Amino acid sequence: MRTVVGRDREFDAIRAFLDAGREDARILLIEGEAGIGKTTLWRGAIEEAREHGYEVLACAGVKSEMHLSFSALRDLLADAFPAIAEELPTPQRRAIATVLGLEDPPPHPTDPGAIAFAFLSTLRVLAMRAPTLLAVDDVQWLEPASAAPIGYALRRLDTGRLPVILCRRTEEPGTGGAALEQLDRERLHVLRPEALTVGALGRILHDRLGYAYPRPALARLHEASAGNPLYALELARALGRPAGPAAGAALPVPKTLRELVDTHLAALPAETIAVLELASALPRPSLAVVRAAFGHDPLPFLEPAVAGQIVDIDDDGVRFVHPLFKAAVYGRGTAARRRDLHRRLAEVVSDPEEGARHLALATDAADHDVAAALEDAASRTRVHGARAVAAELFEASVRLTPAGDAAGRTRRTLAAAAAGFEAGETDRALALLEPLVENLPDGRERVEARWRLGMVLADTSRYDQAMRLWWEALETSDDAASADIRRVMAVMTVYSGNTDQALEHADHAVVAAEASGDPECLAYALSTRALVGLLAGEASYRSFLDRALAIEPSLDAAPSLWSPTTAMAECARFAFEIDEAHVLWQRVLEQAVEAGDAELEWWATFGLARAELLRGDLARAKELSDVTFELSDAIGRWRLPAETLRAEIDALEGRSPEAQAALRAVIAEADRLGEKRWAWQARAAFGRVALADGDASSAADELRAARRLGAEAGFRHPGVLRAVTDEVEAAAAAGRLDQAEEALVALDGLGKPPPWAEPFLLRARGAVLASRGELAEAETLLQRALALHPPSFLPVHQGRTLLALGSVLRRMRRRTAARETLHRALALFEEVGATPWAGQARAEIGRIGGRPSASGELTPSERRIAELVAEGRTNKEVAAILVVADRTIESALTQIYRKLGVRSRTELARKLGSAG
Amino acid sequence: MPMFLVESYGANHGEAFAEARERALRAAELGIDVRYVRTTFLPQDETLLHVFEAPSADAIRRAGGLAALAFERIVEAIEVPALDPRGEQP
Repeated sequence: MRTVVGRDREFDAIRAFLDAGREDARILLIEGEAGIGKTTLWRGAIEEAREHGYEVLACAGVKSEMHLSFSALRDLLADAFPAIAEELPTPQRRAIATVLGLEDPPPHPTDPGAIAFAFLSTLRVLAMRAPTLLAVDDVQWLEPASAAPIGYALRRLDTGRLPVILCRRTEEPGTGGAALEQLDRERLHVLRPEALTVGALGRILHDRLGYAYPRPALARLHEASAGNPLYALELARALGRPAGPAAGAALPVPKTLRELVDTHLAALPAETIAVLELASALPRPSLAVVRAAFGHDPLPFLEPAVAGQIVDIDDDGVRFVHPLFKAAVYGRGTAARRRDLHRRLAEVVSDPEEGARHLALATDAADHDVAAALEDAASRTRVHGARAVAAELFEASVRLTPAGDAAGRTRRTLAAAAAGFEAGETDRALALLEPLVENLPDGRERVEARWRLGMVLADTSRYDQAMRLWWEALETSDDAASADIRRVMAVMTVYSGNTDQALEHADHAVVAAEASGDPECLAYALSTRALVGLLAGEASYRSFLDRALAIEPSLDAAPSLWSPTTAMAECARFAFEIDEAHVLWQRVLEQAVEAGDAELEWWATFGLARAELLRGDLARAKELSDVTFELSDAIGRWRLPAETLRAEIDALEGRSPEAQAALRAVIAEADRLGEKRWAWQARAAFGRVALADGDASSAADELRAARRLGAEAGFRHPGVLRAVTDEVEAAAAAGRLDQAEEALVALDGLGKPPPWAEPFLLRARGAVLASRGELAEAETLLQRALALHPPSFLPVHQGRTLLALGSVLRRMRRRTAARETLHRALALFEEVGATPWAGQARAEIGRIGGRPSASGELTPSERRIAELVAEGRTNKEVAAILVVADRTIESALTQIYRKLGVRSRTELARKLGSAG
Repeated sequence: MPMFLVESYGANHGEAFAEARERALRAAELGIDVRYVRTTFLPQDETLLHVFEAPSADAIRRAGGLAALAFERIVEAIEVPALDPRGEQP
């Protein structure tokens, strides 16, 4: 067991943390000022963990490495990953293997979201094999490419056997803080090492320096250093051996720790400093690289630094005892000296990215070869998925591009902007693109700059500005560029709510794509045209989709959001072709996972979740909804539709107040951003949730707002029809017949309804008739609606029709029929887990007067089912005979068995036989 | 025989004080002509002050080594006994 002077309390806390970490997900954050002993505790914690049987993944942020990509991730996984690589799905294994340099990068850039996902999976696999400690020192200096996936994993660790220990220097800014954002406070424990006592400092000075000061001197040292051990050591070195300062005399030392360190370094020989300087400019100062750059064996020259406890030498190379020493060594030379260091290192390091970085730091004048090397390194880094680093390298290449190479400068600036945008750094992308748009002459580059700038503006909801730029770009773009720009304009116009204009853009995209002769461009334009056509309510959308699908097999492109198959899946979902949507989205999901495309994976998971919800598989819909949420976090997009979906599921599970609150927030945010598509969707969802909850008045309000928003935006897709029928029912239930009639007129305005919509329309009209007291007419429509419901289609809606019919029958005092119908409704709702609707069915049953079925007494429909089952028919056969879903029979049998006190079909047959 | 004060770090934690005192007593047993007098513990400073009677600081150093008693300093000490109620030294 490790002992560290003066840190017993802290080690007690670390041991308790490690013990608890076997059961619960926990994060320990050790934070404090420089020199207080965080790294000592961190190292001690790693030793303790190993003694407790943990495997350890460890890395440390390094200030000089903050511009390298994935150095921390490599440190964490390089040793552990090969043993478990085969346990990961192929795309995840590939993502991590690429980061670790074990595999060549794929032809298209790796999505950072995919890397984050893969990292989390890797940790989970490792933890299943053995309890694993994740230990990160100096987290504030983690480079952004690693900080993102580490932070992603920290926010999602939800099981024991994987505790995390982080160290952070409190006064030091750094990009690694992203790893600590939004951590669950309940799982985060903070440990702040306290100032050491006089006695503890005295022991450290004795053990490390052989000094034993008189108590008065020791007390003054303690006071001057505020109990900071590193500061005290440097003070003691400066003071020299005891007797120490004379009583009453000022301590003859500089005030800051940094100045103390500089004084310490100044005492070293010049050759030692020269070697240390090389080491300080390297992220990983291996002896081989230092030797190659120094030109001699560095070990003899490092001895004074080892003796002075500035560095240690181990198997990994030269390690500075404290990061402050490394920073001080690096910073003490002139700028020219540092450039010389980097020039020498660029010649000897083997990693191309690191070499390019040294080149950039070695040069302050434009240089064609250096700029080209940086551009090359940036392109490779971008493919690896470290887009922020790629952006920075591209920018460095711009800076070093000679003035005469305008084309190179423009190309590199556009690449930097694209990489920055992909990394989520919209401000940086804007700063690069705006001058280009302003200053470039008309031509291909300016078109591209306008197009990219428009994408950045649209991403931050500045649609008007984006559209203005795209219109400008169209004036001088060629056919292929025009098609791409128009395609994007079509989609953005749909989001912001003008479907007619979106159709125009989509038509132009198709024409331009045809003129370009580029099949990929044409396939994407046709896909977009199909989707926008469907949203506008056109029956002819299918022809565009078929043309796009015919081209797709000949394309050599990775699947994307624009691919024809993706468009087909989206169209199937909007058209309520549920089974087809389910199959297609499953296919797209597999393609997305294979390609490591997190954005496409989001769309596929979301589409699949919606399909499952409509099919009535609430559990599966919820699983997929959770994944959608995680992906929204990883890619930083589309949180509004993910929230809407989750709220609908919450409502179906009976958490209506939470669901309504969440939907109100989504509506407010969507309105603020001008995102009409999401605003409409959230309002329609709110109406459904309120209707299920029995709050017809709120439902009617929100659904009317949705209808008006949809009309203004020109939405005419099938989802609109469903929402308007909901409004009719809600208004009728709330006694607002005028509103119900107005909504029915709006339904007519949506054109000829597709066949699946007939039951919805009949139920809506039935609701109005029932509200007017025309019960017999209402019953007729509702019975027709019921007969038209395909058994497996939208089971909640079948249940709603049964509920409406049962309510009408009750009001007609046909109690037996009402009870039977309502029990069928209840069985359906319970089967799919639609809690609020089940509650409404029970309430209606409760309103039926007269003699309820006694326990043991079957309803007529139950009796019929029981008789058929007793005859030896399977559930499927019984369902076919009675024209109901299989699960209706299963649910009914549960009731039948309970009422009759039997447990099998054999017992049931015996019971019915004996009853005669 | 002269007296000496031995300064040592003592963690203000758990049984550390008791263990340190045990080692001081053991040092006296193992040392030659070393007599343990007492220990004062300063919890705020995490400092132990052991007082021994011994022929020399070296004798204590050797005895401390045998008993694994860690310390930072050994300095000569002069004890001043308390006055009795009549104001006289005993």
